[in-house]
Amino acid sequence: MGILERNNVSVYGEGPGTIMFAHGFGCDKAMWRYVSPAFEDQYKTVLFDNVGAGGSDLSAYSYEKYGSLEGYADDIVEIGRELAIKDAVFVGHSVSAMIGIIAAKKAREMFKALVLVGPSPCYINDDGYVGGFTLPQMEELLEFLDTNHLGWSAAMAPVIMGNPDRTELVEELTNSFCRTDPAIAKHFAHTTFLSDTRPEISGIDIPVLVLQCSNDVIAPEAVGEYVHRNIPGSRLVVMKATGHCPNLSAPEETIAHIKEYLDELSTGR
Amino acid sequence: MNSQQADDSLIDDFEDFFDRSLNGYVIASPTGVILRANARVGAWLGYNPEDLTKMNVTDLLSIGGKIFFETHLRPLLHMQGMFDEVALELIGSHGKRLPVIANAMERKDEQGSVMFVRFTFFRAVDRRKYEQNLREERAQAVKGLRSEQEVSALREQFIAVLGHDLRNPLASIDAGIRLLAKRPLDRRAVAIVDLVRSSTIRMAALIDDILDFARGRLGGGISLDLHPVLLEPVLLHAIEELRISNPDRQIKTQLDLPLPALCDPGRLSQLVSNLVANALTHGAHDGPVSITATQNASGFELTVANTGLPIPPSVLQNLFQPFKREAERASHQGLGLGLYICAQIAQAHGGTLSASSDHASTRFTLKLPA
Repeated sequence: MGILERNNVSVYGEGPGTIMFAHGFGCDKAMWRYVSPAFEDQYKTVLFDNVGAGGSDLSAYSYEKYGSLEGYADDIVEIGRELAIKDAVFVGHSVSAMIGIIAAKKAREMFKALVLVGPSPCYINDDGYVGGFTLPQMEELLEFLDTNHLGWSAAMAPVIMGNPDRTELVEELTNSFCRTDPAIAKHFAHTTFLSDTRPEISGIDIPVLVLQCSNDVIAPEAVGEYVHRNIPGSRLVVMKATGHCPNLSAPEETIAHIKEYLDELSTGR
Repeated sequence: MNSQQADDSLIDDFEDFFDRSLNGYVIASPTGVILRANARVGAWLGYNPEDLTKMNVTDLLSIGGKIFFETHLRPLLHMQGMFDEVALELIGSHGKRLPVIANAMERKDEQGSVMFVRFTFFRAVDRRKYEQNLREERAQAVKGLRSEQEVSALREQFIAVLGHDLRNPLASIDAGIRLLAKRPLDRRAVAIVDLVRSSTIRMAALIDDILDFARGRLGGGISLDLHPVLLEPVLLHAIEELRISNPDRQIKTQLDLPLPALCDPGRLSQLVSNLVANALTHGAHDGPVSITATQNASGFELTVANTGLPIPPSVLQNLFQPFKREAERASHQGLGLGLYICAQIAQAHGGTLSASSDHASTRFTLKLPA
């Protein structure tokens, strides 16, 4: 199976430039559905599922490879090389913001700018660093996922009814969420929430926009500030949107901030 | 009662239903701020319903549930307008945990923007305990099965390796005996050489059986080398060999096999030879062994019959299982793999091998599809 099938890659839009959108833990590429179309008139947009999520090839899941964020970053580099992507913009949500940083350092020609939506280089508090969670709390999360197969399977194959306005989603959701294996979800949670990529974020020398939500339980404001502080020349925007998924709860605001930033980059202001 | 009173009492009833339902109800803003919670949720968690209105729904969840909610359930709500049947734990004011099943649905206005999110919680204490037990039982069963499989795989590998390793020294014994036989020997030595040689042949046959068995178990069945052949000469040759080594026995054949059949002739000879040898060994020594075979467009059928004591039903039942040697009648010929291998050969051809036994005769019947 090819790389594009493995990661369920889809390419839309026209344009000299390219934007790659990467989803975070707990979801799949469908979470960009209200954002990515807004860029299709000026950019080629590349969307994909992390291996283990959505419509990716579950048989390609390796507990060793995906036991660290490096494995996911390698996949991004492979997708980029397969599509001959150069000087593109990478938009990564949640853990994929960090995966994008690792990928950008592995293949420096591939990305000219990074947009990090709700990034967190380390979720666990550590000696003056505020990640938002304690280690026992993270262990509780992993236990929760372990004992909550019911929740996963039920949430992944919801009985979709009474949503006449969302019928176009039904097939995609039931299919993609169904195919996410609870054991893989749990392992991805392990890889994500126990990761510490603080050493990775320094040494990024391309323009970086940090989109920080208000009242984000997963990545609190202090974390967004930490990322901003440690990437020289980066810009931090604190959004009006609350929660952890502004790409779903406030797509217009998300689009506006990204567009503004990209316009400024291209006009060189 | 006038209609105004009826309306009032209906509204009262709705209020009562909302508060005193056995389910917990929470109405929240699109961002999750609790606008109203029913008395049931308050009672479960040890809050006044008014105090709950200052909180966010996620404040009621365990840490695991909170992260799950933010990363999975809230995206689901945004994308499909609802989620249901999700196992969560609510955390009470004193840290007490209550397992629930949660459902949520967005309520939208005419323009499609979300006005409220309605949550329904079902108490699931017993259910969660039951699931916990099921999970533990499953884990136990998986563990038991895994160790069982390991032992069994090890056993079969052991047999295969053993079979291979026995072949080499046996081949050198055989070669040595052949060399010895060519030298001038006295009568006593010739007799010894013959004895060793026939033991070598028998042992080689036993090892072949072991390897066939291991191949059948480990390699996903016996593999066949299929050709279209006329079966009659193939079967007669196998039977003739046994006739020569059993000159005092009566072997009757009645073969009517005019059509070529797609099969592995070597394997079929092995099968028939095995059945006939069994009949000669276990059947009445003064009675005949009869082999009949017929063939038509739909397939091939062969029966090997002998007279003598019937096979007891308890033995008949497990006849084709490996290592189930007939315990009740002494036979020191083999390992009890012969019939198992015969059945495997029949199965590999898409056919069946069956046995029946009564006072008149014991019959083994092979049926192969065309």
